[in-house]
Amino acid sequence: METNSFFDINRLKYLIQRDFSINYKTMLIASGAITGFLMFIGTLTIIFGDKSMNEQNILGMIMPTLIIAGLISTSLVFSELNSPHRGYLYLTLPASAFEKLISSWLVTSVFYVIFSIVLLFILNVYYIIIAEAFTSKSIPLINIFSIEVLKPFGIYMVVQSIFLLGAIYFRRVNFLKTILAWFVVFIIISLYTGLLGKILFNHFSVDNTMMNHSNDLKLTIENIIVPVAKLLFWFALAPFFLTVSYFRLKERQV
Amino acid sequence: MIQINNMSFGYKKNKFLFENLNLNIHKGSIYGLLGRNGAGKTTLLKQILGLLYPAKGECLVFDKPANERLPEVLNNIYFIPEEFDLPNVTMNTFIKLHAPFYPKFNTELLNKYLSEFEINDNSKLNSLSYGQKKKFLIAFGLATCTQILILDEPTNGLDIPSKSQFRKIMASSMDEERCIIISTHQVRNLASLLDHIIVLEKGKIIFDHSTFDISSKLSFIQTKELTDLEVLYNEEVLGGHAVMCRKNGEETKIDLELLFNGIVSNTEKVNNEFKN
Repeated sequence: METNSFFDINRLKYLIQRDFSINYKTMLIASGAITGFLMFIGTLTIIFGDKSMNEQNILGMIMPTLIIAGLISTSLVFSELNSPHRGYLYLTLPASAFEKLISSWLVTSVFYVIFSIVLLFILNVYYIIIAEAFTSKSIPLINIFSIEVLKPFGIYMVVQSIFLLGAIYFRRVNFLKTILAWFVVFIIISLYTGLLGKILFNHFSVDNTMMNHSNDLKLTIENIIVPVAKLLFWFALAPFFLTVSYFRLKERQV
Repeated sequence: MIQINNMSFGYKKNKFLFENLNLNIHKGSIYGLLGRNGAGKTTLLKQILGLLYPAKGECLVFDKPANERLPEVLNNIYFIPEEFDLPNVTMNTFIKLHAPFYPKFNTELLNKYLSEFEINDNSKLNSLSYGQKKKFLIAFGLATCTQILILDEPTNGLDIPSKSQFRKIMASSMDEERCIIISTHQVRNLASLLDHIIVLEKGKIIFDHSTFDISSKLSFIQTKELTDLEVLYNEEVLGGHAVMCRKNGEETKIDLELLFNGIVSNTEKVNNEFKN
């Protein structure tokens, strides 16, 4: 029977089952720890806090924890590949590099976001119950499909693709090395653009010419650079890093 | 089944372990890959599995480049490494998670092999000893019914009864469509099993002949006197000499250790015996 070398839905299903079954204990422990931590912090804030918590306060408390936990999980998703004595098992598993990447991406991105939204709802309900039971404060029920909730998860899904590449690229301490690499890239880009700005605009004196140039620059930034940067962030960054991750995984040797 | 054409590979740039290596491996045989430490045996196996990529030349498995790691190639090849770490799941979970990737997986065979190896419970893999894990992996590998099975030092860590069970199981699992490659130092344990010998020395294949050819060209005997023998290699043993010589009369059982030492100490002389 002719099989597709690049993508087969059954192989993807087996891979996802395998990912969940092998890592379910770690996932349960991590989920329990995150839930417990957020319940504890929330309970203390509700009972001992001076004011009632609004939607922003709740999201400000839950979202960073969920996003950081998601990025750490992403950094660890290829730990089998990076293990000297288990890498062979992962690489010789009869599935394509594309399927292996998609499986890990689904688990740490799509499924994680769904899990996080459900957890957010559960925690919100828990906070409401605690507030009503022990205080006279009121806590709002957050609409989990609102832009305030979905946008940070959208940002997570973009940034997560960088950490997915880090998980494949680095063999050890993936999370910290990815942050360091990202920081170095950020510094280089900042220096480069700063230097370019200085070369282009520094020789103008503060007179009308400078003011005109300054306004032009502001308009260019507002009307062209920012929209393009937004477009690149939302639609190009994740596909770019996923593509690089795919080739990195395909070319990976033991 | 496996074709290696002019393959070069090195862990460091400009320092090749293999240079223009050529090798053909056919179905229906159990190949013994022998060599000293650092000769490149495991590296060669990794090339066949697509775990390492050639710097030059090619390594084809079922006519496809091994380094592409295509699912239809990988589902017909199984590797049991010398050093491994298994996921912390029960044996049944491991089987349930990995068997679907191998279309010809045979559960009955697996149960048969596991019972022959006396592994009958459903313990967590991490709670098993190294030898038990290895036996489980060998049983699983054989039950995948892949055409190519690669084992790196399979008898390391096995107790004495398990070694003979291993030989029995391997012999019974062999058929005309299958090819098994065993890389080993422990030649005494596996001599009766192999029907083709490949010797690797410093990244070069210095010997590549079937046991049928070896038996028809060479004799392995123990003698007190070396006279009247066309000796290719000999070692002093208790009470005389272990000798590898040009075939002299009756067919003898191949002494793999003697053969290996003879090949390594005088490759040209031994290979000359196979030229006609």
